[in-house]
Amino acid sequence: MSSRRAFLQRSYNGLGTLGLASLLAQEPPVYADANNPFAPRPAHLPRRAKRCIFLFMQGGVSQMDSFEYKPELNKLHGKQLPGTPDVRGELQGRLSFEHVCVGSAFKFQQHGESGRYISELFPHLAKQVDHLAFIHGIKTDNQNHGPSTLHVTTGSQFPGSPSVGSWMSYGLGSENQDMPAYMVIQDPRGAPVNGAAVWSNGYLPAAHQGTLLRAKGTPILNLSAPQGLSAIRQRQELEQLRWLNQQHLENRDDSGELEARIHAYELAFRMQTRAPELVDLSKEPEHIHKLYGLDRAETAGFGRQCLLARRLAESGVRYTLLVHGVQINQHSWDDHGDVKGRMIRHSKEVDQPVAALLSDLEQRGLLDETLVVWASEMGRTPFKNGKMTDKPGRDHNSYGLVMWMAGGNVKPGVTVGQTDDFSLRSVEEPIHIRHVHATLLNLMGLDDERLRYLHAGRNRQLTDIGGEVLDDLIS
Amino acid sequence: MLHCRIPLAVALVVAGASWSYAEEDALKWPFVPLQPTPPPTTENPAWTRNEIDRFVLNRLEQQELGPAPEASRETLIRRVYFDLIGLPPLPEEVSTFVKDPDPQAADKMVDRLLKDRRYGERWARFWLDLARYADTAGYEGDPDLPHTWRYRDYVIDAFNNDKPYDLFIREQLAGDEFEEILGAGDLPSAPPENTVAMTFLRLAPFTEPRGDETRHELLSEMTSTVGSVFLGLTVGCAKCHDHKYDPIPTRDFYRMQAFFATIQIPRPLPGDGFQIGGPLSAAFYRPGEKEWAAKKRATLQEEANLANEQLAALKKELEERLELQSGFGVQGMGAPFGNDYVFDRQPVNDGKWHYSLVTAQQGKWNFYTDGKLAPTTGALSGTNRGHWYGALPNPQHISLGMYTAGSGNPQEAGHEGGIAEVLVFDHPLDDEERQQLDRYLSGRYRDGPTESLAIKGLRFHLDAANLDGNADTPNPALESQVANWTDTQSGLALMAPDEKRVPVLQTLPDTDQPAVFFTNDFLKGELQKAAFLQDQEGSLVMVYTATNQGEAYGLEVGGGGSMLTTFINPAAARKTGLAEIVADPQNQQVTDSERQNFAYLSTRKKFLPQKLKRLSPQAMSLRHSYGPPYEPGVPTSRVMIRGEWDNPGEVVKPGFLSFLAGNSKAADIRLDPFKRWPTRSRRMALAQWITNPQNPLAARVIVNRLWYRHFGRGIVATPSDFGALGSEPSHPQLLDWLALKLIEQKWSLKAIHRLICKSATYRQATRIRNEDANGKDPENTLLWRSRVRRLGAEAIRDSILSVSGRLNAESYGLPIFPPLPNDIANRVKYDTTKWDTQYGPEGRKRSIYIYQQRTLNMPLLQTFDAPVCDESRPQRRMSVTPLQALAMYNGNLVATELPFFVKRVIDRAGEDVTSQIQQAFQIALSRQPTDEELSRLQEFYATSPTPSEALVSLCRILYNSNEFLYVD
Repeated sequence: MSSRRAFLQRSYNGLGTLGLASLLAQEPPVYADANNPFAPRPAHLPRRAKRCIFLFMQGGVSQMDSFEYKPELNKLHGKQLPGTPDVRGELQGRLSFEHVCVGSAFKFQQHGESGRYISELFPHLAKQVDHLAFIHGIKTDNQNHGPSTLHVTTGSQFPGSPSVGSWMSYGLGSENQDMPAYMVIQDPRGAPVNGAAVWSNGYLPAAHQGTLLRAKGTPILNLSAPQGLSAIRQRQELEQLRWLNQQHLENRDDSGELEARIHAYELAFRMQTRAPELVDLSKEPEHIHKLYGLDRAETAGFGRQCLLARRLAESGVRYTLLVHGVQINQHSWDDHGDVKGRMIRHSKEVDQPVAALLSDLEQRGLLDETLVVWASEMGRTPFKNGKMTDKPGRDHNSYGLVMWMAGGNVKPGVTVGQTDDFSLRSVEEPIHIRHVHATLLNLMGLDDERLRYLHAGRNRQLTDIGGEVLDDLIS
Repeated sequence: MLHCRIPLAVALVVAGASWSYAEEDALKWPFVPLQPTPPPTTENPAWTRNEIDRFVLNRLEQQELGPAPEASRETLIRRVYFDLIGLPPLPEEVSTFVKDPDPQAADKMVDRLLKDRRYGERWARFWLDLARYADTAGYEGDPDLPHTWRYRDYVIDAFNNDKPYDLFIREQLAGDEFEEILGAGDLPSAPPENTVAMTFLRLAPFTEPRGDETRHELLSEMTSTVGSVFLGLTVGCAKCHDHKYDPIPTRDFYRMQAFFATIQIPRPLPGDGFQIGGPLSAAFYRPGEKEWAAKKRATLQEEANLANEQLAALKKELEERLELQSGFGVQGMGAPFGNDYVFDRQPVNDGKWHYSLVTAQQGKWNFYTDGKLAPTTGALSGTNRGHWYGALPNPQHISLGMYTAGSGNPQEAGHEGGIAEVLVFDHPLDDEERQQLDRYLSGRYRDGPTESLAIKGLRFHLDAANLDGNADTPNPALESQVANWTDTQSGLALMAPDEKRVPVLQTLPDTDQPAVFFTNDFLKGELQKAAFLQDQEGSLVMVYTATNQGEAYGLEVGGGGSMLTTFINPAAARKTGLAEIVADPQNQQVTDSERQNFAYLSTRKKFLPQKLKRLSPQAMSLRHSYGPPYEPGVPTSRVMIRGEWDNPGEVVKPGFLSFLAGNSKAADIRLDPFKRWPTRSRRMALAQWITNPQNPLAARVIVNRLWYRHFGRGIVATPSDFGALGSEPSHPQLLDWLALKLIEQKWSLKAIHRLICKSATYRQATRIRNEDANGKDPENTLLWRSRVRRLGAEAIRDSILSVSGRLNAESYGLPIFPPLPNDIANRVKYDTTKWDTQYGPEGRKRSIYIYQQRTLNMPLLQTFDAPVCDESRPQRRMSVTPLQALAMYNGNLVATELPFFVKRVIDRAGEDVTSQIQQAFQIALSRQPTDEELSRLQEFYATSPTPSEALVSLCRILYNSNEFLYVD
């Protein structure tokens, strides 16, 4: 309450008397009022990472064809798994069918000082390997795409919970008052499974929902002024609006929200000028276009997404979610058949852009304060159900997700978690996704135990029942 | 899984505390029986209008505070209208009310609005939030739940008819168990209204079933939702562990869950996705509904037929106007091509036959269509690096009629039309060779002198006239399906790899030359002997017809994700296809109404089946299992340890929450005398316990919910949590008094609305300064004035339409699909089979009727905090964001409605500036402008370019004003 009152005073004495025109021209006044959802808020912990870029690969990336080297599996190609594999949980009933192991068709080589094995599918990323820290054998609670995608992106397999970005926006606010704190750039070919639920604010206030950066037209919905309205005229209208709203404020004790709404109009119209500049890639030099692969068809799509993410990060957007892949479609990483052919295609689309993002951030000195995360909704099985075919694929494995992180306070070169020789199960207790979420928050300076929101009688948090921070990942 | 996390500090206190709450401590409010408290006396009885005021004033007086003065009539009418019917009053209604000398005028207004059917439309929304209502199942594919809209209408009816709240609960929980069975015979079927009511239990999001796990989650969700909605208890917290705050052990959770153990969810209908389950039949029962549905079905069918004809005419007209042409081209994709393409803009998709020739030479393609060099090759090219088949790193297949992106598996963009001949040469044809080719083709297809083709280097020859390449084999009959096709010269075998994709043999138009016709069909062959692929330069000739309006691919050679292919692309010829050109709002050659019409007509056929399904007399409902020998009997219910579906613990019987019931006995389930239906009556037992007047919670919880929606804050500020973590009640005695009143008034919710809206408490002004009160009670918990409150998202949209005069007042019926801003439907779509945009009046019905698609919330509503519910929502956040400002100022709804608002002002005010300002205020804000406002806006008119521009601005400003969105 006190802050609301204080703001009231401030706005009457300060903001309130300024003309809108001058406001539009000025640096945004940052005000730490409870009614400004984007006001920057102090972190709980001292951390270098100020912003996060989350790369989500829709469909379930095959970990044994990308980042987890499993030579033993290759030896079993075409044969059954040895012994009695653990068939609890989501695999129940499935292994009673015939299955054959599918070795990886790709060569793995050691890279970088860390000597980590990376598949030949990721030659560009392999050069960045010394920035990366890996988590193997992450478990989610459901092996369907819908629930597991939600589990990774929102911390709950059931719809209705806020996404990771919403929690970060809620916890940290924004460094940039001209843009929403949380931006989403989806695959130009379509939406992920669950659609907008993947960047939903859930039960958090609507301000913390992901804002979709659009591929065509204005970058943010409703950004262009009404047709035929000149900038000068718009300003005149806004002056009148502001005056009317000021009249409406008179004689009130409870005007905090009304004040905030006046302020929101000012933010909105700064966004109107600033956002189009931010997404204008023509300002980027040619070598940057080439670096991200914008000059080639297979990399142009995700390259553009990555380059935009870098620009957003640079301008202080707190959290950017990139989605690669479209569910139930040849563009999904859901490689039940022809995992070889399809992995070649998927990896080609993302390898160079992702590597470019890392090196570009590093070159600009931004990598240190930007957390980059690679995720998918699940891993895949080392076998295929049924008999061997000429183009075998892999099925879902909700115990086998591999994620990596880079930048921020990430300790590069480490690997947390270890799976068996076939990446079917973790050797020890699997790393539940909630521990990863707790770690993500920690890397951004947020304490999962303190980042709470009272909803429907329960103090909710991203990790649901709390997660353990994976300390080994933090430098 | 539902989880509740203990704040750390509290956790230390309760750690180790055992389950003794009920025994050691006396139960505390609100778990004690309802307490009849006589309304207290007050020092200022003149102010009080009914008992509510005596409770409120008494508390204020204890703090030495007084209430605010009564709000003005202009303020009051707006408040009551928005509160009770969710819409602003008409200017005439305001002036009548303001001038009414009757001191009872406000009371009469309340009575009148409670009888208005718009009351149900307003208040049903709050219940739908609680019921986690949606029209789709969520998750993967977000499948349509075709009949849930009937539950929405059931709820609207329940409010409008003031259905007793206890009956409302029983119908939703146990609508199938009303009738007592005493003798033999089949089970009585539930009345259709009850069947519809039970949709309540089916509304949770639903993913692909996984046997016992899914059932466990389903029943647990029902248990949690019923607990929070009807009892205001976070019962769900006890799913995995004993409740940390409230006296609900895990055992009680599973005892409660056992009431739901015998439910039977209908299987999906044939052809439906297994994700959603099936409906139960439920005849249309609302007055006139059956006739309405029959008429609607007929209308839809007629519309779809008519639309087809209209669409054909519109397409023809637009194609002519836009000079839409087609293009033919060649494209290389994947490594090492990148995206290398070139094409020629020619009208080749007219169904007549054409031939195209492409040559690759020294890194450049050249193009000839019907013998002429393409004039636009340079302009309509990508990189035009002129790759040839020899550049393919790993050629594996050849395919005709489909695009495979080098995978060999057909994807979208099938060829429509025929292919008569494909010729591939290992070198670029020179002038003379092209002339020779022209003569050969003219002779063969145009009745010219017959001439053979003797160009050297021909390696590869496909000829539909000679399917197996053997001159002695007679051609198959026309219309026969082309199954296997071996070219004897190249040794290449082409077959239809998919029995559903079977090109047929026909003849090219105006010739007797056979051609293979494709309609999204596909032929495929493995490459073995096609040695020309080693070459780096060459020529390709295709003789074909095409009728495609969209992209289509012809001959492709590829493998390993790379390919070289020919294509037809009307879209590329004009950059985009007809549909896209028309949809482009920037295109000035198409009017907005044509644009909308085009979109509407071209989708009639697609949406028809879904709509007809919605109109079949069904409900997304459930029932109890028939039991043995037909269906599962009574399962053994167990505690599931840690809430895990496969971790069974002790056996439990259905029973009521022990701390409320005072014991942990099994509930008495009233079976029929012969126990023929052992699965029956469980949920009825629960419903009767919840609605038993002795149960302290049901009445308290619902009365508090109504209070919250009228005052912006409940007496208990957490409407779905009356437990220990919930908020302390501000006026517990008043809440009890109201709860008892509800029961006494036969559970009439309208009786409570009436009491609240007629109280002096409710009528207080908002705009007052009271330093003293603000110091003592800054949150206004004691109600020393009214609160200014933002409209909910639905009321905002409805008001915009109401102010423009374009709100469609029609009630009930199928879900509506208002226009979405620009490309949002395409951007966020999972599939296109659900959102059937309605540009006409139907799309302007009230927001309660908007299709609730779990993966696509309307951006305007979403930005103003309206969820498409996935879980029960007891409260709405009221946030303030810049995106809201953008939506109101620049968004499509205000832009669409603004001219109508302007016109409405002019109709009432004419050209007079003062009158315009007054009318605009009256329409949008239900009041006259102040003198200061008037003079300032007159000045604004004077400095505007024109008065009509000024009026447009004024209307936009009013739509955006705080006063439009906030009600005093």
